[in-house]
Amino acid sequence: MATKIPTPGCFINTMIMRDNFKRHMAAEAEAERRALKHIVYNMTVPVRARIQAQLKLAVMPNYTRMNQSKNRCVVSGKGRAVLSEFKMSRHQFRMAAQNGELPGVKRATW
Amino acid sequence: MSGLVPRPSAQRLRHLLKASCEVFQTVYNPDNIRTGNKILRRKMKGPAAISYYPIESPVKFRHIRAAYPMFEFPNTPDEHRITMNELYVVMSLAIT
Repeated sequence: MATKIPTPGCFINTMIMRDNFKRHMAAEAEAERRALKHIVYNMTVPVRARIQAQLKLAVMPNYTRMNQSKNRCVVSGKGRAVLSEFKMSRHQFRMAAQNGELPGVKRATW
Repeated sequence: MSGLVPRPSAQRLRHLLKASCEVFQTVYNPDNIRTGNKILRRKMKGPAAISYYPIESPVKFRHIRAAYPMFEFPNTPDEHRITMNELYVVMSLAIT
């Protein structure tokens, strides 16, 4: 590893460390992946080059893929039921909201 | 309806399309060849993905304590932890 990936300032967890690593690796490789995908989709490029680009794309490690990153709860590290607006899982969101820590969030009544 | 205005020839329509593209600065692709431009058009998601987890603050509680020794910075959670540990010790001795 050439550059050190910064440690997250939130709750630390193995899964969060792994997800953070994936995010950084995917961001690093994004330009290369974009270029390869462009070659694959470009019909003006010779077929051989397109196939080569497709193979190169398939061989790239899984941590370079943006799909592999998952929004985790920043307080508990939970991967499921995470509200992306608050970066918290549903229980943590509920606790924070009832404590008044989330601005503008109150119980829904209408 | 069809006999009112004769349809221009394909070549003329192409010239028109080319001129229009020059005027409005769009890409000229009359045969609709897939150039893969849609891949390049998309926005990059890297910076947004990285910024999901907040960066660890380089300044920590111990740094502030060391920088301003004349002030007292109470570490309430840690003091609570220590008192609870002492209580556990006392309780375990009381039980035995």
